[in-house]
Amino acid sequence: MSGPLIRRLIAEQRVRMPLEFLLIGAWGFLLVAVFATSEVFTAQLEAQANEFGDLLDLVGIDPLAQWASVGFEHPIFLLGGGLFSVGLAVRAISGELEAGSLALALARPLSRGRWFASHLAVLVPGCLLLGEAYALGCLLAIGVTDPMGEIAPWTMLVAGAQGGLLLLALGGLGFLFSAFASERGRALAWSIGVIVVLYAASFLLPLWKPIAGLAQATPFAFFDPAPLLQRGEVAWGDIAVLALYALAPLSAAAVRFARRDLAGG
Amino acid sequence: MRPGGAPAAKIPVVPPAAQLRGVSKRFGSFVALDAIDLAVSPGEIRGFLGPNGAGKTTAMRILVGLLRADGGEVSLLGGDPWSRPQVRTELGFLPSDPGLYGRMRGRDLLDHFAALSERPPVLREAACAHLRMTDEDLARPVRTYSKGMRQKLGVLQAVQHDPALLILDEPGEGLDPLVMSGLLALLRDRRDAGRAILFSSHVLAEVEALCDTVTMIRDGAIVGAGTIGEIAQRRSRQVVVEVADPVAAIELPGCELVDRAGGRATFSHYGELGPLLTALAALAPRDVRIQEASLDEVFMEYYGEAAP
Repeated sequence: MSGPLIRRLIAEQRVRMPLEFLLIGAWGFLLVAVFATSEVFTAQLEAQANEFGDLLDLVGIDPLAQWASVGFEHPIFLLGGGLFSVGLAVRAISGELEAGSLALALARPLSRGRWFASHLAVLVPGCLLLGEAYALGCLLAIGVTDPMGEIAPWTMLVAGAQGGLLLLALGGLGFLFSAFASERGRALAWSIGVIVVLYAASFLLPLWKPIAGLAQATPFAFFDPAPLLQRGEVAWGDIAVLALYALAPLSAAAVRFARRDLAGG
Repeated sequence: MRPGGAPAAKIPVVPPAAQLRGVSKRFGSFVALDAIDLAVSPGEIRGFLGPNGAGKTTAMRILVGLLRADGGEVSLLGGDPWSRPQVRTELGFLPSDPGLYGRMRGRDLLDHFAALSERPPVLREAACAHLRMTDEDLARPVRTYSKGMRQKLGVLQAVQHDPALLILDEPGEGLDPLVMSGLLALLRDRRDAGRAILFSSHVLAEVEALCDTVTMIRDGAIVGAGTIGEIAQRRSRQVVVEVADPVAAIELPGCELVDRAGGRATFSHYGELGPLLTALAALAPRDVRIQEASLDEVFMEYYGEAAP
């Protein structure tokens, strides 16, 4: 890794990153606050508690936890986090190549591997931080609004890390297309296109039984924080698969970047 | 000293700082470089000339390690730049269209690239003076710079750590004559300090004023190389002879007839002047004019289809 490069990348994020952190945190806060203050929800919950309280306790369904888990999988969370992870990845190679700055940096004693690793050194903690932003927003709202229901803070933080892993997987796709393309726009278009298709497939494919299993090919199928938030069950298998989803395109991107000609810029 | 200011070229005997030997490069079916040889040694400024698309930038990018040669040998400061990035510690490179981070201030950008070079910017102050770059200029964000200012910053990031080898792809692009003169002085100064410089340009006057040696490339192949003096010796002369008899045969050694109008004939002449003068004296002409082709015209012959 290269210290000067990492410092530059962090400096470039000094405005965007806090804004995205605030956006995602605000999304978590808002979601829980709406849940806590909505008369409709409150009335429904009171009715459920009276009629099905024992049953809900038996199956371990907490409406607040269910509600909070929805926010993790919502496009707003994915968009906010994807702006950072895919944006950084796309700029890292094809963006800098197109701009002509990659040639200046790599004409120095800086290997392509170090260039790549330095970007990962910013991408990985950035994704985890944004995942935790949503968790912290939810926890703050729980503390402030005291909604009906209960979420153990540690489950929220683990779910945040898992959300960060999902963002890293999306960033991995961005890196892969960035390593192949010579123009930022092309890499971005491919990244967004593939991510949107995977996202749509993750909830459309299960609707048709013959191909329902294909939904398991998308990373989104391995991010369901509800059991964790409701019952404290950590899905280690899902975490491992998500990590693989991140590692596979990142590895392929690193190999491609190390071997490719840098003729643009 | 030649009129351009550079001293007569010395043929270096030290190992080249950068060298391509029989290097080829294809992009798909397009042959960008066809087994070219190119070398630049310490204490030498080599001009690298050729028309657009001739392969100059490709050759320079292979030397830097941004492109991988399909065949041949590449050596940069004693190592292979593709597999050994560390050899680039002593390299300064200016691409033809340098991308500079617009949000950074000029000074921060120079500091950043100096840190990536792992060398202190020992030459920054002197280079800024040559290029008329002030502290106020360096305190501004790069996005506020004009094209010429950006080019100056591009040159500064390449030279500020006083590298042993400078590879500059059209460094004079966008510079005003005053700054260009400062750049040429800076590069001469570095050459005199023993640095090797590979310099591409379309401005032939710059090349003539600055370079000790020249390599010319066209369609991916080297079409000429040598010292400026050697290239100059290949220049043709235009000989205009006027004789009294409009139909008299005029035969001159080393001459090719270009035009004949009555007693006036125009020739191109290559080679020794002595036999020509003897033959002219024997003709007893009414008038004779001998004019050397400019170096520009010599280069244009190489650039054109019918290179000698």
